[in-house]
Amino acid sequence: MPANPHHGRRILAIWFVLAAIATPLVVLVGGPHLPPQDATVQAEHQQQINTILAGVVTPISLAIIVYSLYALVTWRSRQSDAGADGVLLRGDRKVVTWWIVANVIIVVGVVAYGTYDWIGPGVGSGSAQGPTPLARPGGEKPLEVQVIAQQWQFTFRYPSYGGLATPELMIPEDRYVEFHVTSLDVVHSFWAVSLGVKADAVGGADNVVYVRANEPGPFRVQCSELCGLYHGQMYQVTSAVLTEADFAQWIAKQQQTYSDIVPDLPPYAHVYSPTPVNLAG
Amino acid sequence: MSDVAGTAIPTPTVRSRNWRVLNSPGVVAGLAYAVVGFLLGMWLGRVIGGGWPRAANGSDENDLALVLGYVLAVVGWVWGLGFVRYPGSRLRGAEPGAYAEERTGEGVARYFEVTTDHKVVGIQYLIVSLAILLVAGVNAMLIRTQLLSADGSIFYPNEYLTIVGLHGSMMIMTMSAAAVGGFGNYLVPLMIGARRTAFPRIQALALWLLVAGALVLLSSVLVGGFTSGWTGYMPLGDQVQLGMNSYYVAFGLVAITLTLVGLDLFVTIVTMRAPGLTWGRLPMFVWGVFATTILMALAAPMLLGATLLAVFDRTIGTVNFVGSMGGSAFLWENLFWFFGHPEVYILALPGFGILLEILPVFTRKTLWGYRLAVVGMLGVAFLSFTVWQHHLFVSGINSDLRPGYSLSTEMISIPTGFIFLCALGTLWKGRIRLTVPMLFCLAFIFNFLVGGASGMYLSDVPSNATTHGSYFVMAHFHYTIMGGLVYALFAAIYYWLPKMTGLRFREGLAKLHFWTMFVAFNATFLPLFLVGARGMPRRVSTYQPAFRGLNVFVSISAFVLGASMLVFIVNFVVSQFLKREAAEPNPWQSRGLEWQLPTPVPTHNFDEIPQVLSAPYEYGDPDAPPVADLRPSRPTATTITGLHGYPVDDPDPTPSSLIVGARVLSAAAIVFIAAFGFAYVYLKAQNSNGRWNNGEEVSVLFGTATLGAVVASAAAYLVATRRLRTNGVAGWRGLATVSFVLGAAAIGLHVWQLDTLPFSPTDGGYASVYIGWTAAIVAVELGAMYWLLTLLRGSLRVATIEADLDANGPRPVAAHLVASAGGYRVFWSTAVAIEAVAFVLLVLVR
Amino acid sequence: MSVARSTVLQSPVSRARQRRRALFAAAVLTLAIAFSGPVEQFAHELFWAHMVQHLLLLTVAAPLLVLSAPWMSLLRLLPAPTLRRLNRWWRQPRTQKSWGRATAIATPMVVWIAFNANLVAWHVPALFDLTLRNAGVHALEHLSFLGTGVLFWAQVMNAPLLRKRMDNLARVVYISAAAVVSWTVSIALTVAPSALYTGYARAGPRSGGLTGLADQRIAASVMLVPGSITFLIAGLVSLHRWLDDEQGEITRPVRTRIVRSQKERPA
Repeated sequence: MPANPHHGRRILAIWFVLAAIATPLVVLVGGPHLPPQDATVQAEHQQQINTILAGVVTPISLAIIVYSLYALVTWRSRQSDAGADGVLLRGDRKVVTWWIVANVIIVVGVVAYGTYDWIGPGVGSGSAQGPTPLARPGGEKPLEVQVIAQQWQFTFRYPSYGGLATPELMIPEDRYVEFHVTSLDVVHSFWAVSLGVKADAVGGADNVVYVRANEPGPFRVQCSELCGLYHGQMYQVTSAVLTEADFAQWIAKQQQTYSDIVPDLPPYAHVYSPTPVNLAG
Repeated sequence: MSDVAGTAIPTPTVRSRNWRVLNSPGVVAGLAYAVVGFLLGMWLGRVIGGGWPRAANGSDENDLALVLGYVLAVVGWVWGLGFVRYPGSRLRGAEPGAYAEERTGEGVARYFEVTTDHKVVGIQYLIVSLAILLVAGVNAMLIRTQLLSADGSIFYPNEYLTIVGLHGSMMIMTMSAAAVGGFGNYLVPLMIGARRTAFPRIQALALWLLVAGALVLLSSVLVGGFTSGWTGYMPLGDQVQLGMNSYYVAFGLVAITLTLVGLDLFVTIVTMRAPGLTWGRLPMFVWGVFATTILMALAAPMLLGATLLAVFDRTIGTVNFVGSMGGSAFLWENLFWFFGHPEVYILALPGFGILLEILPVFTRKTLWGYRLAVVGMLGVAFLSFTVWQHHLFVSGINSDLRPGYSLSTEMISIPTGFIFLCALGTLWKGRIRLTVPMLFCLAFIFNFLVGGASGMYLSDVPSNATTHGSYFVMAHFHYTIMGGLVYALFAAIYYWLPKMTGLRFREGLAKLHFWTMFVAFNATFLPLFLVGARGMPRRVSTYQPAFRGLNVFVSISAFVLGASMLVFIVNFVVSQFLKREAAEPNPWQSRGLEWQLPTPVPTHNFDEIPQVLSAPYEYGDPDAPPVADLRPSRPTATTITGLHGYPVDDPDPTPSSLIVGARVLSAAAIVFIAAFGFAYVYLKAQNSNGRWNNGEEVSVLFGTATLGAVVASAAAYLVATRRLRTNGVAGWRGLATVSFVLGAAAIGLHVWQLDTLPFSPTDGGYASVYIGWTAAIVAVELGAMYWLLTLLRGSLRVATIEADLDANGPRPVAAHLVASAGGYRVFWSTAVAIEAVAFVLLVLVR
Repeated sequence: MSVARSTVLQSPVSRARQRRRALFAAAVLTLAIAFSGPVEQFAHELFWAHMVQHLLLLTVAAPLLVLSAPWMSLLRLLPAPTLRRLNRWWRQPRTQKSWGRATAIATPMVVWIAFNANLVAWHVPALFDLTLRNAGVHALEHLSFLGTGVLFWAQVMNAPLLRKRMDNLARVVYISAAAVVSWTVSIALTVAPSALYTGYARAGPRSGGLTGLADQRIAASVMLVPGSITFLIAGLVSLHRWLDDEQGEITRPVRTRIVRSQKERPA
């Protein structure tokens, strides 16, 4: 910057002090409370990304805010210099270069880490992956659970337990669950906030999302894609992560309760094509 | 400044040739015709309709009747407003400019009638936009009232969702033309030293179609409302009751409006800049409008195609979006967002333009990094076409594409960053005056910063799993659109209204408006990030009791935000109607060309087309010449008549505007048809398991004959234009007539074939797309044939081009004919290319 | 060029030469990255790595080659007799005439069509599969990418030895239109229902456990986004330069003032 270099240094100093205070505060103090917290491996990864992004966003935003406020205070037009003009400055190649370099580094860094995270250790990071997932958990075969959305409720099927269908979702802890999300009518979205899982449910389409719960506890399932009249009421709160033993017990009980119904259900499939009523013609 | 009086056209003549008003029919006639049209359409629909229930859910509501009612009502509206008179008269052989007759509607009344004065049209847009903002704002208040309690006890779900859908649709769709339609139409000609825009009638038509669109959308509440939100996702949109038709018809109209606005202003900026106004001196606001018009002309036609596919689904029983029958729900998501993301920048870019236009004035500095800012704006426009799939991160399609779309989305921050850098650089060592427009600009920077920062979370796939579809994304786009566009709009209103109306605002009330709005806005939307990330989905009428506290706080803040708008209205009414105080012609000491004009701006803007001498931001440069010479001395009287030696006060396009306009229109037609092409490719790919085509065939002979007719027609026309140069009009006319006959024959063949199709729309994806695509091609070709017919009719009045030119100089008739004939060649060649692609895909490949 | 002038100009010239050397090194490095190490290795297995390889050729190596303009230096590497023979051949009127004709034909429009037609053609499944089976065709494909790439970028870059063919605004349009073509190909790959190329569809389980279809879609997104970066940069740089041309007198007086004041200073 020309002429008077003090302004630049002063802004830098103010920013540095503020950023040095605020960024660790946001990351260390705020980070552990950022949603969706750590109930599952996927939620942990989302929280981690959210924390990193907060750590990136805080100093950047502070830089722009500090600069603007400094400018407003320092270069505000006073009565004494009414009618005067600012300095003649058409640009600065160096500033532009550094700005672009910084911007590119941030973009590449954020995208690279985010992509690495969901393809690699995050196993999808709770984001739906369609019928042929790119990131799959290794090791033990995951428990397959189907989420069937329809106006305005969710039904859950467990193919490994004879295609059992229940109105509530129970999953075991410390084991990967492979959700297959589909819909019987319009587009819904399966969102279990504390599990960090979101997957659109589309009629005739299969949508896979993985999750591994860390500890037992209840969670809430709700629809997050507008699906008609009772979209706001399309949630259920009786779902939970269970210990392995509790889960086995629960399954046994469900199989008993619904033993009459299961044979009448359509055979388990990844997509269902309910025939539309009253075809034309 | 030159004061050679003899070189100027006598001012009174210019004033008296006032071309503002189209004709006597007006709003009343329009409304009356609209009602007649509506009833006629309903009747027609009853007679022929009812046999085609919606394939999605078998509903036998007569959608066809309602849609025909709407379409004919719009036709009646346009007819009654008088827009049919000009095209009709051209068919009867009237001269271009035949409706340039004088009519000086003075006073407030002129803002409520059809006019081609760009300043009046601009203000009409602002009135319409503010009215929509108000209605949609009231909807927002109703939404927040419902959300005061967790169990949602005020509205029924249908009412609530209709309110939500109307709020979103009105704010995002019908407001897209607010900045460009309002300030763009008003200011662009003033800033580029022109007396009008390139196509004044199209400019007016776009406005009145927008009005029709807004009314159609609102009429949804009379036929049951729609519960789909502003995104109209399928197959929900196929399922919802009659009110959904209003949504699709309204969006179709808005898409036409946006395309027309884009066409008009793009061509204006390209062809009508005053001498000396090089691209490097173009004001930033004009650059913002320019980048926006590119997006409008190239993205909005896609929406038109998508809404047509949806309307066909609802009215004639096609299955484009019915997954189990050969359609796909994802098709709508792709088509909608392919338009929808550029749409976001249609909203943001004019805001950037306003920001960078106003900042230099109140920092008393040249714009920092002019070229960088332009590159940033056009870079944003370019990249905005590559990011649409980030709206589909959790939709379950193409998860493999996410790294790419995540990157492209983040990459947009680079050109956006240029704009930020230029704004910040302009503050450096300025003499900052904290006027009201400046306050809004600074708030814009802050809001957009928050919006951009939260955008990083949405573009990051893991974080997106939480934030997508929640109140987080809702807060995000309110920060970018309301915090961006609406703040920029208010900055622009406070900045330019003294020029528009010649009246001052109350400074105190304006500051009160700003501070209440700024505080309440942030208090409303900042907590929503938290609510969303913790698990509250968008568009719900009930929520978890745990979020009650924050929601009540947000609702109260929102009411304050609403009240801040009342402050604005009070200020507006007081300063503009009750206690009027005249403003100085240039109260901000701005260098902008528009400020060099007297207040109020004369009807014809400039007595003479000015000679631009320097860029508008040369504050602090003692050597800079004034921005323009308003009375330049020019060698002969003929050059003052405007650019290209064409009378400037005629509502007909100049020859160069016609040629550029034909190209833009051709590009728009390609995008429009591309919606059907994409539907074809997508449905064929998605339904490889037999639902695509159940053995439906169309006659190859028929298809070949149609294509042959079109190709022959184009060939005849190409030879004809060559003859226009060598043999004059007579040589052109014969072959052009042949071309017309062949083109008309092709349309006839298409229609005949549609009538005798060996399959029904419900048969599968192929059958559905075939019908939609062919209908769209027929529409494009009908437009082309009308164009050719006016050319043929007009050519009868010209004996030979040379004689006409010799006798009258570059008079409208000959020059217009030659340019229009050239433009038509581009358009018709495009149509033929479209036809050829359709032939290969629809007839040969199937 | 007189001795005195060349010494005066020496520093900028040698700087330009250094720059060209660095650019040429970067081009060679890009080619090396494209044809050896992990890229080459994975390209046999993964379609998207193959796509990266092609993008490196088309949008990185080719423009770097154009900018570094190593043509004369490369010629000098030839043995002296060959060079002499080549020179003689070059000076023949017939050669000159054909060269003149060739450059006349290679208008920007022709080059644009050649570049894009070449790009589209190699994506036709039959042709692409042929490259996987036949090393000769594969080499031809890579050569044609590099060749049409160099021709394409030569139209829009100010590089030594090349005539300026288009003004900067035309370049912006030229580049954007080419980007749209590659977007279209990319979208076609995106929506394709199955793996189009048997060579990659057949390969069994591959790194990361990708299916053939996922591999193809990743390739499509590589083509869409990273593939657009050079187009974007080149387009924006041309735009920037064009605005420079368009800035008119307002900044020019300032610039000329500066130049003048520098000139007036005693050397």
